[in-house]
Amino acid sequence: MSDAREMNSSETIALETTHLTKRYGKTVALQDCTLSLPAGRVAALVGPNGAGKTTLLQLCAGLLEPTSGDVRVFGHSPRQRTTETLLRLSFVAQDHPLYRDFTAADLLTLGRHLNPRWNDTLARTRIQLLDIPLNRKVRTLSGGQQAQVALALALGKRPDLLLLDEPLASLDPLARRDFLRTLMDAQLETGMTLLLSSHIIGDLERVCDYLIILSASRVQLAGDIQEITQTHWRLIGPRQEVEAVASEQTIIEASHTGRQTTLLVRSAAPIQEPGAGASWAVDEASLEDIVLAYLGQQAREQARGREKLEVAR
Amino acid sequence: MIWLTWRQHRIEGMVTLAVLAAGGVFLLITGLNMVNTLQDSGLGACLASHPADSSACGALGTLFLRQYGSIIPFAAALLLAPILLGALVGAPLLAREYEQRTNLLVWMQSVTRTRWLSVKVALVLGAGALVGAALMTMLIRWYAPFDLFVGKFNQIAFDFSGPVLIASTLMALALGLAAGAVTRRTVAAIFLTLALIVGIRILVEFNLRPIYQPQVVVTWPIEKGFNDPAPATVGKEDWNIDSGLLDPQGNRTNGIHCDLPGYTDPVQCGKDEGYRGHYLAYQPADRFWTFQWIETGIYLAISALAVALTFWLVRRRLS
Amino acid sequence: MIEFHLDPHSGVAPYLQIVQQVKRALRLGLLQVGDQLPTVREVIAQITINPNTVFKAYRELEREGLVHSRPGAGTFVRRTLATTSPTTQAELQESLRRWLGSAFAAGLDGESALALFLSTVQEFQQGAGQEEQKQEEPV
Repeated sequence: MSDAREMNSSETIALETTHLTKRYGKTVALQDCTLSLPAGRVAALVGPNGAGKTTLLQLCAGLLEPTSGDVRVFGHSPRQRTTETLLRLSFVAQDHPLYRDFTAADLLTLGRHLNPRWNDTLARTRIQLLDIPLNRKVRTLSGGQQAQVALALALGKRPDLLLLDEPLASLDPLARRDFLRTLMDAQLETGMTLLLSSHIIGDLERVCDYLIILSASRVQLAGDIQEITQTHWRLIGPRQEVEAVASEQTIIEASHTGRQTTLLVRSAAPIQEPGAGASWAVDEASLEDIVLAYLGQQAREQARGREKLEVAR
Repeated sequence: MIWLTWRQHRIEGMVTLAVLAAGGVFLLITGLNMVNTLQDSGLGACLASHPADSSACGALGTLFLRQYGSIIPFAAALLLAPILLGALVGAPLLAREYEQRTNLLVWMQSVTRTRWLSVKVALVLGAGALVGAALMTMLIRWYAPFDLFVGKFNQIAFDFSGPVLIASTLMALALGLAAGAVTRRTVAAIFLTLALIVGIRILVEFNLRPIYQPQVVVTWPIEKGFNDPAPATVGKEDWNIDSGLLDPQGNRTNGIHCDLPGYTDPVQCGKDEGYRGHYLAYQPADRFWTFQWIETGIYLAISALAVALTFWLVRRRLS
Repeated sequence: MIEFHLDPHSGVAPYLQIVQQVKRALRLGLLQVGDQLPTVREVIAQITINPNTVFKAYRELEREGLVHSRPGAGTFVRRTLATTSPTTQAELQESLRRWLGSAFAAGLDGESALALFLSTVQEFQQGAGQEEQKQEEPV
């Protein structure tokens, strides 16, 4: 579709990482991550637990120092806490920590005192619209309400980039829907860039238009969801080993049952049959299939310990 | 940032004030009582007319001590306040922040970690200095009657009779902050802080304080016996550290250990064994303020190290 | 006011689902010329969805000439897809209902009836030699 490409030429890049690596002693938390997230997107950061999602988000928030490589938020390093960057950046950590003995009103006062660019009315209204009491200690609120308070605090700063680490993980389905609704409403209002992490893609599919797959500390795939779904195909055909594919195609995953072979293939061009004389049913792959294929790929390689299939970027 | 520090720690602040106030009331009431007794019994007048020789007022003095001696432990308990302040206010300050992960919240507000910590440290240490100063003033006033015939250069009174109390309060808080930054868990930080404070203060008060300057040691031969007075007079303003016997190797000891058989007189036995004589070790009164400032310096230096460590750890680590 | 719903498992892109639902409403006469489509904000409140998706859907509808967005005012229906009047539609629907009644009486289930209907439509169109209209997959 031409829409996405029309936007690209004049787009600001909200978040850019270049060969970003983070090591703790001998442990590698994040390896050689290169990303470029355009402004205004709602991006999903997906991967299994331990893949490095939290590390990546904290590096982007400027809370961690990279071991090597670079991270830039709107062109500046988020570690420079006194510049513009800190004012434009917000981060909600996993389980949305709050000062539990503070009331919601106290937390708003905190925001007001510590942030020069603070919109108190905005944050306060959001909390009130959700019927969350302002003068009760936050630890007496439900998990969903606490998450909404944490979100309101992050939004009160009027960020241009908002990072959220597993924001839905501890919430029941109703609270999840309400949280996402608030988030989408805020995104509509400000046009900010969002990056949310989750280990379940299903939560994020309807709200995200950009996808980053992180597995085994590496970025496996990153791009517009529409472009991704349009360039990944599911091929089903009679059981066979498929070794060779056309040069512009890449097999991401091949699975076999007794009679049938299923391939997940990435191809920029319309799909051609990979094997001579075989007849394949070709279908656009669903987002969930794509994510599982890329994650499964890494898991299989780790299990077998052989070289990676070429990962198309 | 000032608002935040107050709001976060207002309960600790108010409890500290309450304890300080309660202690102050106790000291005030008992202090006034003592002053009255001093006047009414005539002990005050007696001591005033015999400034150099307080033993002249012995009988009255003994009566006074018998009446008020029992409340000294309660006043001494107030000296625990700085230690508890360090362990129960200083230690949880940073430890709780890490434990509850609110550091991830507050460090994302538009304030640098350095500024955040600087304001907290400044306010907490500032408050600690005020608490130390208040406590010092109250205790000095309260102790005044005892000072008249015991002086302030002794192990207990030294702790509060000068800037040492302020410095030890600051050190307790600084160690608490550092312990919190190291352990990042509240309970562990409290225990570590207590261990450090107690360990350091025992080391300083019992091992270092007596030797900030070389002790003045007076010795006299063993023949003089145990009941004869020492050839040197140690006044009430001097710090009478220690007295006893010097064994054949020159080490300080309490009594004569008679190894040679067949002696009935310990003095003779000691002389024949080679005991070097009696000794009396003290620090003269004019060194009181020097000692106060040396010890203050030690505690302040430790505080500075602890604070520097805290800053280094907080800036380096995320959680 | 039209209410949208999102089927995350249909395999159809979210923005297309919205486009389809608007078109369907237009066809059935549920939306008339001049009616206002829900604001992006209202859509988000109905279904939790990316605002960009709604913008995209409305842009697509505008590109097809079906709606017209007035900045500050909203998005309004410009052209209807209903080719017949509501009365004719009601009559046609009634005869369809009768046919379904017979089909079920004959022992067909919903899916078989639908398959039969679709193949007949295809045949009819090919047989009549009419210009193939773009068909949308029934939801």
